[in-house]
Amino acid sequence: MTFPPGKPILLLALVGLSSGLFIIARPKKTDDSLHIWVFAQSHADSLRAPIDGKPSLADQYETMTGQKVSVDLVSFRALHIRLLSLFHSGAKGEKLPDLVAVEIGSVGQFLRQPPELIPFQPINAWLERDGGRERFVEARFAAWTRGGQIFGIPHDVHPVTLTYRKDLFDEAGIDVEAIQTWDEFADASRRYRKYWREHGKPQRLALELAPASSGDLVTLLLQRGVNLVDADLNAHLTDEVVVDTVARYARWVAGSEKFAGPASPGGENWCKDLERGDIAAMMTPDWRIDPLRKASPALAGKVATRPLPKFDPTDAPTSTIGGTMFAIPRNSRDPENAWKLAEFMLMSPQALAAREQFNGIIPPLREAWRDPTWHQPDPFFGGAKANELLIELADQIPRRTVTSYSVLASERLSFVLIDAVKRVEAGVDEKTLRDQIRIQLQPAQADVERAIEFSRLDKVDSTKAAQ
Amino acid sequence: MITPGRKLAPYIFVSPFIVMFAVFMAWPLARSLWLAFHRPLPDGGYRFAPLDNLNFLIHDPLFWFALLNTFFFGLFYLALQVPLSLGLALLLNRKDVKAKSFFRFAFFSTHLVGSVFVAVIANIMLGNRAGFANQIAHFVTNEQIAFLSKPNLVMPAIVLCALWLGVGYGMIYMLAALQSVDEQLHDAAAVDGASPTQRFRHVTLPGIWPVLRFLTLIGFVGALQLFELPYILYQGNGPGLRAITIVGYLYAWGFEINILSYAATIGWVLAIIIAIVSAIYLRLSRSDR
Amino acid sequence: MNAPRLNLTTRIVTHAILIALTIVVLFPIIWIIFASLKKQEDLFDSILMPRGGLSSLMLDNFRTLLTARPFFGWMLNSVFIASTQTILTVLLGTLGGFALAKYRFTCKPLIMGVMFATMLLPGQVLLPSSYELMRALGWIDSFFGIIVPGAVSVFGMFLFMQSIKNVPDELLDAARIDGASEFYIWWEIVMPTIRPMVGAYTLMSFLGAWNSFLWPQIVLQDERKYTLPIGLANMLGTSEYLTNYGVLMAGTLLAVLPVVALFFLLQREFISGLTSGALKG
Repeated sequence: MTFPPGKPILLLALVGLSSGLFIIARPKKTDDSLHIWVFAQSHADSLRAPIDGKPSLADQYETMTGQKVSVDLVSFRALHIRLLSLFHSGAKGEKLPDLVAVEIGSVGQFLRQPPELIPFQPINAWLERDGGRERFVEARFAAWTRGGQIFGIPHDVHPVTLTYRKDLFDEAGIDVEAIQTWDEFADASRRYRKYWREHGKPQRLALELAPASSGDLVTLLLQRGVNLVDADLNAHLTDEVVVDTVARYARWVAGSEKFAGPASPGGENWCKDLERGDIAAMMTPDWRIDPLRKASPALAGKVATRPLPKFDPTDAPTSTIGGTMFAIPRNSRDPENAWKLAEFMLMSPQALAAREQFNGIIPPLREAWRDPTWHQPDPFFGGAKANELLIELADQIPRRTVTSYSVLASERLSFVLIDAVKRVEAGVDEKTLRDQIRIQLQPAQADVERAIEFSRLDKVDSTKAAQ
Repeated sequence: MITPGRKLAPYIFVSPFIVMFAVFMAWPLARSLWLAFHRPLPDGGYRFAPLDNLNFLIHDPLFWFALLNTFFFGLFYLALQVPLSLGLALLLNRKDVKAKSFFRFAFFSTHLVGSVFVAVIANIMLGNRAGFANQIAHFVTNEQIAFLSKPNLVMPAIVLCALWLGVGYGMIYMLAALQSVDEQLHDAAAVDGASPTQRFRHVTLPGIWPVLRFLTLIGFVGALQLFELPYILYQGNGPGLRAITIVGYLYAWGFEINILSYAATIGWVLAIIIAIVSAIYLRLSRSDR
Repeated sequence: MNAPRLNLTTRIVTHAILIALTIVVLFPIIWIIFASLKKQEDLFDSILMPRGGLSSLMLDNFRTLLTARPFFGWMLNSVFIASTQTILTVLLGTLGGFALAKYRFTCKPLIMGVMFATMLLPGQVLLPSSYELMRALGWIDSFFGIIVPGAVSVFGMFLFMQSIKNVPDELLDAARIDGASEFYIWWEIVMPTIRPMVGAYTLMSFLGAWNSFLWPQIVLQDERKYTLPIGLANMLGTSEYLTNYGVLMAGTLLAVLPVVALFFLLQREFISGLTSGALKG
């Protein structure tokens, strides 16, 4: 007897059934453990991988308290959506992680509401009680603070330095170490380009900068003390500092006098750019330096690193790119318990030791900086004490604020940048360029303000709610 | 003889579908419409604000930019896909072609890959100084092109991937259409001394016109719903936001910014646009008869 | 009178063009195959064959794929979801299509009207509220959240309705006279008659479910529940530091194979089913 719907359906039915059986047979998660959600391999490693053959942090915690700790590595986008969905649906207890890593770029989405409604637990009281606040770099709290309430434990500082091919610059007769300002660096870079054009390497660029997106622009603006959208949801796109920065930036990445350009996208390909000398200098947060060491050992001794040049003397000598906080959801099973977990996994001496093992990332806790490992000469940088420099700069990072409109603001800014680049390519003079940038920034500012007005949730509305 | 069983049968047969439809399509649709007329409150509730979302949308330059971008993609894509599918089908339809089903399988197999996987592959092939695309570029010029970083190359890259996926699919339709054109009409025209081009214009084209029209419609409607390909290829909206699409914008508002009411508004406006396009199509196809 | 004989040159040229086009079109697939077998260093050094020749190819990428990531789990999930969803869609669609095609009953015009209208709607307009619904049902992070809504395909039901219209009424009446129940008629008579369309739609539905990304990504949260598209796309976006492209390519290759196999089996039905719908305009 033939199967009426036909062989394909029969085949699918069998396949579906057998795969279903396999799936049912899959071992279930044991769920009395504490759950930490992270999105980066390095975070996961420092929390759950064995340290030098000895038990991992998670294992140590279990030995200490008898509670199992499960570190779940979730892809970044998925983690973001998962969290949002859980909070939106008012989930409580077990469904929520006890501790979750939230990236600085997306933290704005979770901090939209008035402080008493924000779904994370404020840690001010605990910090005061356990004397934690002064241990941290104060500026690092800014991104996770609303209305004075701090909603997460900073995981890092991410100071930014300028890492460059000392050998290539030296050959071109330029002493990068002596440079103080970005203008000086621009002049030097143009000389650099000229040199290499004359020596058969016309494609060599002096600096890595994205010509069509505003990520690097934002980094520079931070250095100058400007957040595109501040914590009170005021947009600052039309600030004169922004105009000035865009005008300079555009001339660095476009036109006949350009000396900067994009690195190869993807994985570690930017390291190869540095290796090949296609790009000679890059703004590197601490989380780029360690991968560079690992991916390009051939560069040892050829590179150096220094604080960022400044625009104005009042600028910070560094900026900050990226970052993570660890937060405790307000409605999780046991926030107090989660805080104890966090204290051990993130702030204890054991935690600091584990971090050192797994990434060259500067902890935001000053006491960690006393460790001699951060003060060694670094053969990669020709014996210079790179980590020491990073620590120095860590204490000077600018305050960075992130809101759910920051992405919109930086996207609008990128449009203005692209427009400015076009004008530079067309050979416009400085005054016209700046005027045009000012004009372009107006609608950008208006758009961001309109979006803020339309969807802000931090002010409780005075009109009646829907019945 | 009509038993009570027979009378009830259609209701019983159609009810599983109806129930599922009501729960998983009709309800979300209605709810989505409701959302479009409301605005969120800080505590998670909603307040009635019938025109606010629409008002914001009309003045939202990013929405219009995304819409235009999507339209532009649709036109660019169709302008290439339809002729290419037709050309391929014409080639394959010739009487003298051997291993027809092999070629048909080969060209169609690209459609099976799916836009997600194509985006992953393309990201790696195009996104590199040392990647495959640049290896070829290096051959031609001495420059290395950052394919994924140039705003002007975004649309061509997306269209290229979409074409790779879509030409084989269109070809299948075209082949069937070509084969349905009456053989005798062709022969008669040949006897009358018509040249191949004339035969194409007056015999083939009218014969396949309905299918051509149909392909264009579903192609355009499909293009308006483009999302996964550019989103994964550019891991976001791309340089200068050139990879943004209407659905991508909906997704951002709904699931990254998490204002579901505005996302629902965008969805409904898109639905209305598609309805208008389909109406135009139906009007045109009716006037053809 | 016969059409004029096409000469040899035209034939050679035609075939040459076809072969060239095939190579161009299939080149990315060949590239993927090589990429999945090459070492990481070799990956971008050469277009196809690495410098070291055949001996420097390796299966390590596949090994890593299966051990470091729950790839096998993703494959299993995709297979399960796609198969179950397809079967459900076919069952619902043929039942509903049968009712609409061969019976007269009171609400029929209304039902058909409403459904036809919804066919034009883009799925994305449903996204926000479907998501709310899934939360209410507790189907977030559950396969149900994908399979059950996915089984509702108005397009499928209309396709089957068109097909079943062509089933001769005499067949059905004859069976009724013999005392067959309506259900028996559906299963034993209608189904076998529309087998080509069932085959065609099976492939279409399976393909759609297999490659589906947006909705599953929204619904599924546990990494072990991911389907292949989500797993692989997330691998691309993971980790600021390193991406092992060879592994990603190996994964993509394996992810594409099942659908290609299914298509191979169902080529003929698929093409005839697909085009019969289109030719009606």
